[in-house]
Amino acid sequence: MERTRTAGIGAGGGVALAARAALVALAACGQVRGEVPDTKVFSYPTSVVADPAGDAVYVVSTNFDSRWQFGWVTPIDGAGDTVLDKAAVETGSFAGQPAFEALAGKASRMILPIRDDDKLTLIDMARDTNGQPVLSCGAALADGRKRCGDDRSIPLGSIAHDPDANVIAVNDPFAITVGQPVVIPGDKDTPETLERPLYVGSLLEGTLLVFALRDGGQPVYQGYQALEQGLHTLIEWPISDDERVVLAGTRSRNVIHVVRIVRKDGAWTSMTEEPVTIPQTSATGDYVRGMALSPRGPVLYAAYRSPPSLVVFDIPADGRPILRNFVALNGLPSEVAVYAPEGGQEIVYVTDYEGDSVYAVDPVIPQVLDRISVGQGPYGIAIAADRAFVADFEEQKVSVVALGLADPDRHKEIKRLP
Amino acid sequence: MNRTTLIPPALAVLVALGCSSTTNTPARIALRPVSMAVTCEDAAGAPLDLASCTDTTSTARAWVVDADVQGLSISTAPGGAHFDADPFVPGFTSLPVGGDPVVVRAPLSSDLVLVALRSDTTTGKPAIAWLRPKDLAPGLELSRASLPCAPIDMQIADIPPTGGGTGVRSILLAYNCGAFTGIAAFPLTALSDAADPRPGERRWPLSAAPRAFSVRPGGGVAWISLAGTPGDSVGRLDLSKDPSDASAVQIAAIDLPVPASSLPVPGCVAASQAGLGTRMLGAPTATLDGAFVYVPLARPAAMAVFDDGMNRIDVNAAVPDVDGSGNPLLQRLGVRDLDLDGPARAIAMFDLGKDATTGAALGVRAFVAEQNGTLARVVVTPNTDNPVAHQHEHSITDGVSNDVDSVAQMPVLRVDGVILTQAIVQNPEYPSFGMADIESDPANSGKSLYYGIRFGGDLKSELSEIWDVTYEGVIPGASGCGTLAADPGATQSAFFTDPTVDFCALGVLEGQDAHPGDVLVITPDPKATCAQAADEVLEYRVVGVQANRLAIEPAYVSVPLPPAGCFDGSPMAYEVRASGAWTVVGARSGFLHNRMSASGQCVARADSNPLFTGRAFTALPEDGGAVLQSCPARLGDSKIGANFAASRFTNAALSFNLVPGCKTDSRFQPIWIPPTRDTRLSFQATSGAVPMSVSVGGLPEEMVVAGTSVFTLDSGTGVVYRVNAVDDTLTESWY
Repeated sequence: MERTRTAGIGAGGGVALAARAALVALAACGQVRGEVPDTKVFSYPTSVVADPAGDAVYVVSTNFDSRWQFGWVTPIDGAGDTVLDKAAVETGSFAGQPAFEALAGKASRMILPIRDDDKLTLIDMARDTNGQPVLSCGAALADGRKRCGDDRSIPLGSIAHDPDANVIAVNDPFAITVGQPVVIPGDKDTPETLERPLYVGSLLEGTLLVFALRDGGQPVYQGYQALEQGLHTLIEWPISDDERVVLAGTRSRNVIHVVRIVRKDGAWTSMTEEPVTIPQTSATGDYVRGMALSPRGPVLYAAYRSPPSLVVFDIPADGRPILRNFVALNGLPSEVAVYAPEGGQEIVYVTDYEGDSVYAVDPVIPQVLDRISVGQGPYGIAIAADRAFVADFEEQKVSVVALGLADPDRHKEIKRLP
Repeated sequence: MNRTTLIPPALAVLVALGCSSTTNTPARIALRPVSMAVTCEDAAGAPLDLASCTDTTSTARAWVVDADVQGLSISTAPGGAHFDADPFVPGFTSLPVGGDPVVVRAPLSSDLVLVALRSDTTTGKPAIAWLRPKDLAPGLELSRASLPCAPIDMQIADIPPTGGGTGVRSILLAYNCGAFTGIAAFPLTALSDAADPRPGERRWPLSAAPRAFSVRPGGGVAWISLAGTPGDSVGRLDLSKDPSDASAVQIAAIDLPVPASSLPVPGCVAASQAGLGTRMLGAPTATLDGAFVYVPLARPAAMAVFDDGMNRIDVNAAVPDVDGSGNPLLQRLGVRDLDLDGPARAIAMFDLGKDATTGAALGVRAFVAEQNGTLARVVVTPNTDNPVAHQHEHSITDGVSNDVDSVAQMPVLRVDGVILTQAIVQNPEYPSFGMADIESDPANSGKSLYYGIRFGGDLKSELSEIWDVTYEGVIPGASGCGTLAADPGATQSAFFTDPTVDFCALGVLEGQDAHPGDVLVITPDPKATCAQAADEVLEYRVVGVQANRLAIEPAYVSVPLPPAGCFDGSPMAYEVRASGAWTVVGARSGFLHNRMSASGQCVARADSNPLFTGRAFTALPEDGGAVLQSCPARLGDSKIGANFAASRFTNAALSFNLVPGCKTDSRFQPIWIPPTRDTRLSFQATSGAVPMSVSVGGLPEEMVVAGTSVFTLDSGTGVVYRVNAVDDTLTESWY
């Protein structure tokens, strides 16, 4: 049965929708076709995230027009602004935001929600001999392509049930975040391990899933909370090892959901609190998009659309955000990234999907310091190696913006990839 | 179904999509307005002083600087007609300013409009650009001159020369650059695009980055919002003093510093410093007589008042000889500032003039632009109706106050992490306030009971806030990390210490009279070797309270104290919970009680008040039995007593009974059910106080007074609002 899909980024994409409609029609004719993914390019990228090491980013090609057989994730060398196409890995289409799980040693694993199949995909991350990131999902196929198959998937469609054993729908998983670790003491037979909570949110129903991740193992489902449709971004604020607050932004209402997560008897339980309401000063039906924490203090930033603005919250000891102020922007604020260089002020970068630009905001003064022109339809943004990498959804490119305080090209687009 | 039958509809969808392209024509003209100036001109176009501007014989002009368009969106009042800088382009075209604008200002004389640019398009350097309103015409290019540093804010004022004397009209700029952080000023007469206009510039350095500033009427003093670490501060700059005079700048912190003695024990993490940080957004604004300065605060939403000597005024203190003045609740809470509904962004002063009939001065009012779109009116100089300064002005119509009764929404119950919004109706097994709807209050004619909640009627104490009523809840603030130590020579008592908190001031109670004493819940250190280390939590009774230390004893036979030395010195997470009682905590009122510490010991506060209480008890049958009159239990259950008067919780704002949950036993008798820990009833209380204000919507950013109007700019939507400052009504608005 065909089901409703909520567009990943809301605005634009008319051409993409048309093409997708055509392909749906073709699919109905039993002529599913698609080109072999060309990882040298990007396909309607929504998300870009920075490697935990801070020297590379990963771009999620969503395959939004279904031109290709699959979506894919491509690393970019942060310092060299190079698309590492051979290090890319194919995934399902319509992927959401990736998250990282730090494993023993310096290794990491990527966890990617796939909206098209309502599943999580687990992607191996490694470095080649040159220190460049490489993604994989086990052995390559016979034709040399790297693809994440079912063996790397965690289906979400029937994982959650209510007390009456009815299935809780988890369609269009998009938001995701991995929480801070808690140490699980070992004994004489087993070493000490780290366990992290994993949070996944679905766009369509607003279901929040909680998993436990233990050092590279399969995510173990812990429970769910029914929030509100349009879950876009999840942020964890740790209160203690055993207590966390998950802040969930939703596109469909002027609130930040607050879910308290407690680890008890070896399991993670969740509890919904009253959401934090953002005063309704204008109504567009489109509210909270990307969110990010300040690396320097208990402050939360949210890209907001009613009115277009950056909303700044303080986070007190109980983890419930308190509205500090709005910084008025224009267009369609989408995603947020924070740059806090040593010796420099903290600056918040907000993509404006409608205005093909990125706003640089000083959140303390508070003023917009700069408006940086980038490619068409900028959505996701990540910062690595003193550069901002912006996913230009409509143009299917990635804009590279210099950020370094001493960089002569600071706040200019220095490259558009590929 | 034959799949080919889907092709025609699919193609139709494609065609429809191809034809459905629409042009996005926004209603707004200013896309990202960041600042606004207002000028006034007479019928012949000659500049008029803003104070002389009227609706009938002159025209006000709003200059909104748009940072995305990099232009001035210019409109006139009355009417909101727009100036079009390029008639050949459809719609209204803004007048280009030739750079990245930060702020626009005009002098009171209306003969100049100045725009501060972060960068000039031509030179790439910071600059100011200006025009004479009388020269406004399509295609006009602004004059410009370079600045040494990117400006943050700008003012135009008549400021005295060093040492005092007649004021000289000057441009003042706030900077925060590597080379200079402070306020610079140079005479307006030197403004020239042919030569450096700044040879006579004076520069007052500041110790923190200026965020915004204003200049007092008369020009002698600038008041500055300073962004500092760890907290914000207010700066007073005496413009008559030489920049080299260290006494020219005085600073007052908005927040008190955290005492150095409050360091956590080794191994514990310091508590979040979220109380500090950014507190101010807009500029402090002096009253017209210069005696006070009003400081807009973002969090908590408030307005602080300082006198000209930098002393912070407690606006909630009682005023001598004014009956009913002061707010004891806010004073108890340590709130010195004027409480607002939303973060404050800007303040403007307005003199109401004289009463047309009596000729008496009506006094000065402050308009406070709040982030929720409200312009609140505050009394600066008192009068008969508003006898106290620095307070919200009463809203009065035909001599009658517009205040109404406070109200409460239906309580929401949370049990075991599950929220039950209709529990009072659907879940008799859980506690409630004993009433499923809003009913007339039999004890107070004309008043109502809201789901069993009765307001006391003192609107000063009835704040708009969420109340959480939690069974055996954690005492707010009484949690964190501390250490356990044995009581020398005793096996049945021990001490728990946390130097970062004051348990007396938090309201922790030892056992006294009928109260059994709060309980301390510890998460034991699993690395310890004693048997208790294996337990998930340990719970002990509080038998003695000191400022930083609790004396504890076993609460249960099954949980003995750990042997001496087991946990000594190990940092452990803890919380203190009420025992057998409900904590009543308001989001703004907090957990009220009457204790404090003196020399490390708990003592009763000198201003103890039985209404400052935060502990409620379940209303149980008077006979001590389990049987109720009926289930669901409701107010008036005869087993408990009429209206449960004996066990009614009453604080300064409201009162209620906690009615137990119930069920029918095997003999079909209704019996009550003990509540479980952390069962929580939450409700929103909304104050009935209706202070004078006008709603303008959006994010009112700046305010300019012109004649009897206050202009303000909604930076969120680009709307310009014009408010009649005398009768506090919205006159008109336009994009």
